[in-house]
Amino acid sequence: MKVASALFSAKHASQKKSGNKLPHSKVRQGLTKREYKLTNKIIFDCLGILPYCILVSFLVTIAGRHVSRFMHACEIRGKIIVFCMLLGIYFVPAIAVGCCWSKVSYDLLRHPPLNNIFYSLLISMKLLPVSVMVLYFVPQTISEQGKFCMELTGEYSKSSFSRILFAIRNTGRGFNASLLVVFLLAFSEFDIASFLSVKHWTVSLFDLNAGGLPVIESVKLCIFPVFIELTLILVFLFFYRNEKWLKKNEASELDLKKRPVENYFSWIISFTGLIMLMMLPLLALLRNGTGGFSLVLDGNWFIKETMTGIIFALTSSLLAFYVSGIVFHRFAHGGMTLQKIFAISTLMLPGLMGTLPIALVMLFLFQMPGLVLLRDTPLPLLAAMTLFQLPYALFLRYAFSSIVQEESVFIAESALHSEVSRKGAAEILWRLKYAVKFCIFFIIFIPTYFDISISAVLSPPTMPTVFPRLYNLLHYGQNEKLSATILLSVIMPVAIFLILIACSRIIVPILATEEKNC
Amino acid sequence: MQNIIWKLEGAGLYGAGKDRRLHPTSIEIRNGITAIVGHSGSGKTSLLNLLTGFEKPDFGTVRRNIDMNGFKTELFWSPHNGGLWPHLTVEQHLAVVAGKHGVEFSNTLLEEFELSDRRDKRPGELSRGECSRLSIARAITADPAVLVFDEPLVNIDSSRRRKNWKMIVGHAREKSKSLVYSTHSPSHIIGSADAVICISGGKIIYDGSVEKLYLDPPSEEVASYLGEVNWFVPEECQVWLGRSSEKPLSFRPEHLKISGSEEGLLKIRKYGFDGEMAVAELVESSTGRSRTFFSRTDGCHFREGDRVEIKFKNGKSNGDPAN
Repeated sequence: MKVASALFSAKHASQKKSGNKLPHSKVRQGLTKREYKLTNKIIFDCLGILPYCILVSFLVTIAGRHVSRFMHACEIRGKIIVFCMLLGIYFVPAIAVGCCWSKVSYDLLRHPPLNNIFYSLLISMKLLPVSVMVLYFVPQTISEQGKFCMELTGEYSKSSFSRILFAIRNTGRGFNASLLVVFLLAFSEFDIASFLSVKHWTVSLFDLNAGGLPVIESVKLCIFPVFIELTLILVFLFFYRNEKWLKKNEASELDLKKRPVENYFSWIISFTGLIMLMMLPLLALLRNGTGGFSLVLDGNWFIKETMTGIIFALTSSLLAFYVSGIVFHRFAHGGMTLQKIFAISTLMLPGLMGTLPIALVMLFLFQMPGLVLLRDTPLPLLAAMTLFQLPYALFLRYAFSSIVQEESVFIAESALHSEVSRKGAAEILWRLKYAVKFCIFFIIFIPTYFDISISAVLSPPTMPTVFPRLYNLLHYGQNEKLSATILLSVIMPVAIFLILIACSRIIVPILATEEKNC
Repeated sequence: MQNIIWKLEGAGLYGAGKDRRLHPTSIEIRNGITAIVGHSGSGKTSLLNLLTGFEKPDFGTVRRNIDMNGFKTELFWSPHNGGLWPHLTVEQHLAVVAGKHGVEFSNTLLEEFELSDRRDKRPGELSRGECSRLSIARAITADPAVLVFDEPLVNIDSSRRRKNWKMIVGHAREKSKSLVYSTHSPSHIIGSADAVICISGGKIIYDGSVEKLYLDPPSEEVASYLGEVNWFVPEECQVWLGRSSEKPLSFRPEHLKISGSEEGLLKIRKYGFDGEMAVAELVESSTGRSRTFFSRTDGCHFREGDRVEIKFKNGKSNGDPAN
């Protein structure tokens, strides 16, 4: 009731039409019929997509658990291959997935539950890499040896409830974290849902806002879905508030048994995801767009908007990288204090709410007196992108810090002082320090560059980015030029990054040795 | 006069919340071999982290003045977790720090630390003991003026420990390098270190020569860092030693001997041998008081009820008046 009443404004108390009588309680709260309908629509869309999101989070986490255990147990080469495959799945933009699979979805539209299941399958593949990363890097609060000792006491075998509670508190932290993150991402997903015409609250809200709904009303409609997300996050934080966040390499050895079935499953699911979400969409674009590459450069909007998108995503990634670095170094060690929870929550929570709520809230803020002058500047877009990236940047910093010892990096830096070991140490530093930073930067840059909703809502009128335009054009149908444009928009930043990394690979070790020479 | 290589002035580190991992510390560390000893969690690693520069002090200053003196580098560190480079093999670890002209030396060290047959393995494929040996070998290969080791032998099996320790100390002495290391083990201090720093609860409780700490420790707690000690407060001296004293007296196990004596005033309640020394619980006949004594055994074995006397290094016994 409190949530419902928050959605209604007293200003509209007097608006009633004959023949369209509202329930008495709603009249007392001063609600218009329109607001009531819209609110109900969003609530129903939320509740409609909720079971699918819950199902997705469980299925993905269970699958992710097998893949992460496989990665723990396998050799370094296998780890790298699987990691690259998962990255490939995660990085493919929604627009490419949408282009490829929208026809299948169109055929299923007559059967919405089937369409939702198909959408859930695609989303599950897309979010599998996230689950694997969370499960791989979030350590259990108890080692395998500790688990075994607990079994020896016989205490927790006395009742299934105590077993479940033990599992949730101790061995289940990574599992629960994955459930939470996958659910949040599935629940706030917009891009693929839009292409597949899924009845998702994000699609409804985006369409309403694009159709002219005032921003304040759009923001109010976000309250219910954000409430669901916040509740889950706060429950998780509360449950694990006292746990010390061990670094992965501080925990005792994990379960490293090789399980053949798990091996096969991991390879099969990774390949399937790669084929469905990366290879088929990119092949479809290539097939449709082969003849269109020469047409792409007609008119200069493509280069301009692509570069604008790259610059915005790069800038926000730098900001998110820098801020997450400050937060990480300040709060990395020790247990979860109240101060730490508050700081992390304030900076990280907005990003976990999803791109659309962030975009709408930012739009609303920059229409307020005092900030309205900045509305048409890049600032709202940059702020929204940075907020979106912050939680992921922080998690990646934590994840990578757990596999690279600070002592190892320090020793390599010290070895730069010696002429004999300077070159070798520079190479080591590149690998352990700078390549890791590049990796984090790349992983947060790519999804931001490909994002549609934030750019569509907040791009300054004089600085549009490429993906919202492509998204709009796709609704009129695909053609050669459009497919070629999408392909080039996808390839360009990846190519730029690869060139940057190749150059850095050569330049950074030289700079490191030059610095020590000076 | 030995050169000062580190000078700490009020330097310290905060821990979680407002706790201090290391309280304001003012010490000087000189050339030579310096041991840092303390119980787990006392602050040894924190102190070493300050010395190497891995951590900056939260308060105070740390000044370093190392003369490279022809060595390849000022300092090299072997931290408690090894600090190894996960993508390099054993051989590559040494090759990075040895340079072209150190290949023979690094091969020799691989032999000495029994890592030759593991040269193609990466740290993830090594046991903890092998990782520790690799970390030490890498530090030595780097040929620094000062070696800093954080509990270098803690993961190494006992059969190798003595040999590896002898190599480390021998290398430092032979090449006139300084060595600063933390340890729990008195046997790695006595006979090796020139100076010792005792640390407890983040505070330095002793900083001085090993010999003085061994023979004339300021307190029982500090004395215990170099092994067992027979500590007598003034009230106990008359009862157990047969003489009075205004200040506490201490005797290391090798400074007293328990001998059988029909006229002895002490009786055995319990007697055992722990491999390095005899541990005897003795009862004083007249007062009925008991206490434990540590002494070096000469093969004698006593049973409960045997009468004994304690003889001291100067030839006197507890039965002698005013010894």
